[in-house]
Amino acid sequence: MARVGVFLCHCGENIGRTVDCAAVTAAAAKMPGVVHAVDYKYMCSDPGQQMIKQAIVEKKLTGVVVGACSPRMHEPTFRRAAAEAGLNPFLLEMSNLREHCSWVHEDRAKATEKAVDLVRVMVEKVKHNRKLHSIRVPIEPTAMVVGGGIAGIQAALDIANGGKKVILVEKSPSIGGHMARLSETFPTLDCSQCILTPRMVEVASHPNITLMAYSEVESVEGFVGNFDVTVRKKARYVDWSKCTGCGDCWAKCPVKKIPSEFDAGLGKRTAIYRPFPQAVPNKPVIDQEHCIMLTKGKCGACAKACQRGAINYKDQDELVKIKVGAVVLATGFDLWDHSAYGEYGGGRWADVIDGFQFERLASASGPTDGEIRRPSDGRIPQTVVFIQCCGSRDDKMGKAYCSKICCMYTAKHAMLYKHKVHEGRAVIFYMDIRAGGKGYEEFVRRAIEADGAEYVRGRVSRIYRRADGKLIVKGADTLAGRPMTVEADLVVLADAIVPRTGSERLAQMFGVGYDTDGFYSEAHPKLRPVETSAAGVFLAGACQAPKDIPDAVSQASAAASKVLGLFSKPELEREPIIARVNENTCVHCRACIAACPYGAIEDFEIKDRKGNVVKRVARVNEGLCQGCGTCVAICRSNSIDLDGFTDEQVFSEIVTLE
Amino acid sequence: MEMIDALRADAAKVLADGRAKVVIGYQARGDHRAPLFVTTADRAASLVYDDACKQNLAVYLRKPEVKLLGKAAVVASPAAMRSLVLLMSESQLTGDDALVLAVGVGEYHGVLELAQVAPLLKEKYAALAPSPELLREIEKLAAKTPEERAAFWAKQFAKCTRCYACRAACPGCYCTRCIVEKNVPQWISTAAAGHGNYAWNVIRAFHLAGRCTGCGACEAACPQGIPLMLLNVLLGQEVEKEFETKAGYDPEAKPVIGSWNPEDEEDFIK
Repeated sequence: MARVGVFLCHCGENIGRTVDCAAVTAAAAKMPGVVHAVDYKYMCSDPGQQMIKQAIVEKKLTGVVVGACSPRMHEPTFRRAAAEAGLNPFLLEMSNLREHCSWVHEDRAKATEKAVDLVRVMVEKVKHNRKLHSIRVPIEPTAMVVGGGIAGIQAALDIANGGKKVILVEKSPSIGGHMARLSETFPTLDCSQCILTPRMVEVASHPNITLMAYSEVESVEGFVGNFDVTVRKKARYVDWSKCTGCGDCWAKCPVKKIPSEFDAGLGKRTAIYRPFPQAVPNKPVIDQEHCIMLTKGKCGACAKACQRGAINYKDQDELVKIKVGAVVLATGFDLWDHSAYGEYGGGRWADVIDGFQFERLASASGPTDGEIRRPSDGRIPQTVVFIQCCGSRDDKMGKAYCSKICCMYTAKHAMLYKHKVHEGRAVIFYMDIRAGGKGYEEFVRRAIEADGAEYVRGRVSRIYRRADGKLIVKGADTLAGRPMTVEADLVVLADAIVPRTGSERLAQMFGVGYDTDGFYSEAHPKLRPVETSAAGVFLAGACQAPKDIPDAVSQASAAASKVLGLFSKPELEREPIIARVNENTCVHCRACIAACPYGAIEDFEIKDRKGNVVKRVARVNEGLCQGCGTCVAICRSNSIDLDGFTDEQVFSEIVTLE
Repeated sequence: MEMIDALRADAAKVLADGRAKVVIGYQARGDHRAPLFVTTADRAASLVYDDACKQNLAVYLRKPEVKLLGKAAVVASPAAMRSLVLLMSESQLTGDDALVLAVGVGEYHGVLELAQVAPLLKEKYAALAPSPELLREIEKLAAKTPEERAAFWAKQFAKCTRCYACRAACPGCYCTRCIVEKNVPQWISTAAAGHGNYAWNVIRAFHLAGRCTGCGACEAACPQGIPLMLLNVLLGQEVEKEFETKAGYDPEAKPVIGSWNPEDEEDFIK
């Protein structure tokens, strides 16, 4: 026989104001199976919880209904209390008398009537509840970090220093990401390479980190604690175990005119190359698109030059399956392609460049050895125009959002230019200066006041190239209220930050949400900023939103701490609200398998003792199932039931309302 | 050679050389056509095929008692062939489970492997359409008000005796335990009246939305003359409009109601 206890909460006045709690309690006491009914001002408080615990013991309750707020708020609280009194926590249900009743109704009599119904429904349900037990899933205490920029490096180092193994997957031949390409960093003008490269070396030499450079995630199976990730190790054509990185090969490579990705197309590289001298790992790969040996079958210069015999033209991509317990996505950003802006030359003019190209021009290791020389003729520009918000804050042609870092790096660019070309003019067109950050506003003031950058508030309407090579920049100074024309030698566009190409495919593989711009979605914008909707997958850096280095590093450390938290226990405990297939009636039509948004339903073969397949059915993977119920709705023969929300429970709720 | 002679010859041949253990075809019983299970080549001469063959023989392929006979070769019209493709897409039939004696419109396509069925359908019968009379009936029904339509169907469903002949005739209704027979809890009343009748007929139609291949066997089987094909074709048209797909042409097809992709429009969320 069911012995149900009903506990009504006034929620201060939140429920009590609109619902006559005493009347609901009296009605509940008369419901079949109810042996105990009380109301109290704050059921979630310590005395309230004590009332529940005491009644469970004294009245030998087999089920509890708490009529209070939303179960999202306090179901864990009350279930914990029930468990402490020795009752299986899943024998406790909540009626939401606040959000579903008192907050949305005014008529006290009708609201009270509805509250009685809401309680009765749950009393009927709880009579059909079964004891459920948390599901324990073992955790593989190895993390995978996808992306080897500063965010990925930081996350990997933090996890590794926490004592757990890390696989760092980077798609290009070297880690370092965009930060390795920067000349100096705001607001301190630290040399980017000087602060980054020691970290890169630390990654390579850390005993807990396995670096998989020139590799990409191919596919993902599994779930939190137990992901099976297949990584494609791209063919390098160089046996890195033999290679010493001496450089004889690229010195001999006859293909020397390939635009260097690292130098943003301003420098050149060979077909066998390492992206930059400080690369980690400091070993070359062969670019199969440009290598003559790989495309035409003759050359072999590098193989001849290599004294270690490390060159292997028959190298193939290799697929490696790796088991990891958690994943940090740190895939970073790209610059928006400003060729969409026809009025800025549409990408036709060599001297209209983007921020990365300017970084390479200003960098001591760049193609001009740190002298600012414009790409078209190598002359030192006397007037440079910087245009902020190129593609940002423009929902018609570009992106609606603010790219956040451009105000600061443009101020830095102007500063670096003025430090190198003292008599030059740096003119900056801006919409607003957004310098929120420690030392940021001071930095911008310094660019204006100490270094004489000319800030013009206004948009540039058009840039055209005069026959003598000058770029005529036509804009408006909206503070002075007059049109403005600048004859520039070089124009630097602060292009919008966009997610890496291919980041959407990666998100789909991991089951991570992304917004309309392709940035990965965090689980909660304020309270869960590094988690995603996919359990065990965390975010770091600009893949989530435009970020500067300090923010990316902070988020990476936060993601690492989440990973370490997850790995601090050998097993994962999760709510047992999962679907179950009735294998007697399942006909294996596979509709549920297609419908499951979590890939949690698998084909299963029932075999007899001799190993013959007797029947094929669908089976739910307990670790993956999120209890959403989609399969329950899709199953034509009604062969799937959801623990905690079984057909019988739902049916009894509906029937009691008739 | 007459079509029926070719069919009989093929049936005898697949049985004689052991490619199939049983041929599932039709026999004449006066004006009526009944299924015939031929297990020896010498009985193949009893097979008939004409317009009076209404039953969809694909329905027998999943019956345990038929499976016991061994591999079957089934006589199938284009609509029945679509049923075979549907069963393949729902993992109910695999590559060498059966052979097909493929009877087309006005011609006979010989013995096919299951894998050859979908290509034949796409090449020759991609534009298989319901009869003009049926389409006219649908238009007439669409012109009515929702209340009139509800009244129309209430009247039709009231005739239902819950004999489930429609279900038994349908190759798509292969569940071993139909939802209507689930009694813990009993979602659908089994009494042959009122709500139960309405629920049963609507759920049957919904379970076939995007899956009905238009063979008409259910309506032919209904002793009460309920126009089931009206409902089936109507839902088929909706599915074709919304999902741009027709059941029974692609053995790799994902179930329409259960599949999704990130590019799906969400215009139903206001």
